[in-house]
Amino acid sequence: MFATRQNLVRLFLIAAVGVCLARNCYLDFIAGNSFGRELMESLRKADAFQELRTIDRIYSDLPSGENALLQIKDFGAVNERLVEQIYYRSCYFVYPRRIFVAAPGKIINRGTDILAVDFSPDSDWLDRHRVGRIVSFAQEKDGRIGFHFAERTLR
Amino acid sequence: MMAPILWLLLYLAALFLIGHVIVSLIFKDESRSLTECFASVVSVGAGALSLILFWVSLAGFAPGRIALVFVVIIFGTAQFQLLRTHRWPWMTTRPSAPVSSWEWTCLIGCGAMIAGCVAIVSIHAVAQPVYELDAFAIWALKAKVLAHESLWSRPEYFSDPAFSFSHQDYPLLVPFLVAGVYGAIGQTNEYLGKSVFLILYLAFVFQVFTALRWKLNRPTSLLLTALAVSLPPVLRWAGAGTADLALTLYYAGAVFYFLGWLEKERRSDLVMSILYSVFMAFTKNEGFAAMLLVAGLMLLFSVLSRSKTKLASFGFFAAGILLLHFPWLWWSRALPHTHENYGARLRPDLLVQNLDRVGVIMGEFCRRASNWSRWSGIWLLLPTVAIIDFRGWKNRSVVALWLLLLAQITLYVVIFVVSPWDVQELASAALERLLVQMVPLVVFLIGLHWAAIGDSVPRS
Repeated sequence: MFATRQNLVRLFLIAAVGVCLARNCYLDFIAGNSFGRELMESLRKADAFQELRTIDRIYSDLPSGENALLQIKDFGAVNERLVEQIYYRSCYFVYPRRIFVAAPGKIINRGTDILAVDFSPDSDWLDRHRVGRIVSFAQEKDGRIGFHFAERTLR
Repeated sequence: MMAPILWLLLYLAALFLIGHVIVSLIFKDESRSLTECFASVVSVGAGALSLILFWVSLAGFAPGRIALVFVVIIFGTAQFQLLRTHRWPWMTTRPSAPVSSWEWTCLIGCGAMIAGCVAIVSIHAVAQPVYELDAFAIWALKAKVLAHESLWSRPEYFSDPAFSFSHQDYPLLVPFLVAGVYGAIGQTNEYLGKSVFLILYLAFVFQVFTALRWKLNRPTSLLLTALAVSLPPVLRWAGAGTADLALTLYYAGAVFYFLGWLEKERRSDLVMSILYSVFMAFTKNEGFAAMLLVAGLMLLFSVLSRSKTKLASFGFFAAGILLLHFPWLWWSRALPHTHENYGARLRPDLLVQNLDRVGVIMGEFCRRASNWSRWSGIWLLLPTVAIIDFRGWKNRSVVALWLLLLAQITLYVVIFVVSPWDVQELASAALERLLVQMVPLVVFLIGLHWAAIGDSVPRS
């Protein structure tokens, strides 16, 4: 009864699924780089998502109705992902206010589009677009990323 | 903080209410299992609520408390009527033999595994900010836009090239679901906004179990459900704030009810398949493609069966989809396609020019699908079961699912071939999530083959 083909196949399949499940369990909860562990560690760490929180803090006190100009300086193409993170996060955080990184009408699909931008609007343009803050991210010669921002008074 | 949480609970209650009214009207007095009722109430509730918020927004009202209260009053009245007339789906459990020790083992082991996964998704969804690049750049940004202003006068966001990175032409089911939370709680709280992803994950668990339980006994259904919902990539993306799990959920439902219609020709299954198909098309562009594949398959089987009833059902399916999806097609027709725009890139000359990519793409696909550290062998289990169960190939549902899976893989290969991105770069960014979208097909196929081998539901 036990050794029928059907039973053998069933046992094989149950064993195979059991192995896959055990593997899932290990990958989800036990392994050093498991998602479950990463999640718990990020909850414990005070500096989790530090990069994003830094970007958020830059705009956290931006008055409503005022926009910001974002300047990305001296970044290498290898940092495209970081440039995307800075711009996309800024746009998300400040909405419905605006982030200007290029002249209006310029299509921005990815980091290289931002890196290719050479945009230095004059004071009139900034006033017309209600830009109350100028934020600059720059890559230093030693590769470190620094930023500073300056308030400006709208006329 | 209490007031936003209470409004969030009211929002979720509205979601359940809408789902329950619609599902009751569709199932009427049919006998359906408790798990199926839960899965369909939540899935249909979420999809319908999002669609209603879209229509309300088109009429000039951004998601907010007034819209929510109106929806609750309308559906509450409908629910009251249904209660009075006793139109209610019968929630039943199948009569089965006493629970064996093997069944208890599966129930406890798989239950613990699934509970652990739910805990992970809960923490990820509710206790973490929106930190994935795609999650905040595409989905959460859209939710903010939709919560801020209605679609009556098209928000500037949808035509500003500076936002092109956020795929302005992507469908809006998930953003509206989150914007609804923002509107209900009266603020943009991304932690509370992400709570809907936990609800969608729970619905996914029950949807997979329901589909497997159709043909398999309880322990085997539990084993395969636990396997599917605990896959590391599924867990990874479930609470991230992207639309991938929502799409996977609606794809699972659309396919399950399509198969149900194929075998039993019940009108209710057909209507459910229409709803799930519309919701998946309103979730992501891949969902629109998947909807066309399901429709194509339905037409194929209707023609092959030479049954006028089936052809009429296909006509009903197509009309239903067109009717419900039309507002989005109409509204989105003028959206800029300044990003990938795959529709315009599907040109024969481009296909021929990039044909040498096929080898690279298939290699990447096989390499990633067989990655033992991400997929735990589920993609290897499928061909193994298919080879063992050669008799299962006579089953229409098995053939339909295989055709669907192959068509979907082919579609993704074509998309990769015409993509403006570097293939390796695109594979790193998107392939894992595309594989997640195919998980329901894979696990349903494993289940159908397994049912043909043994462990099927006893026939009365």
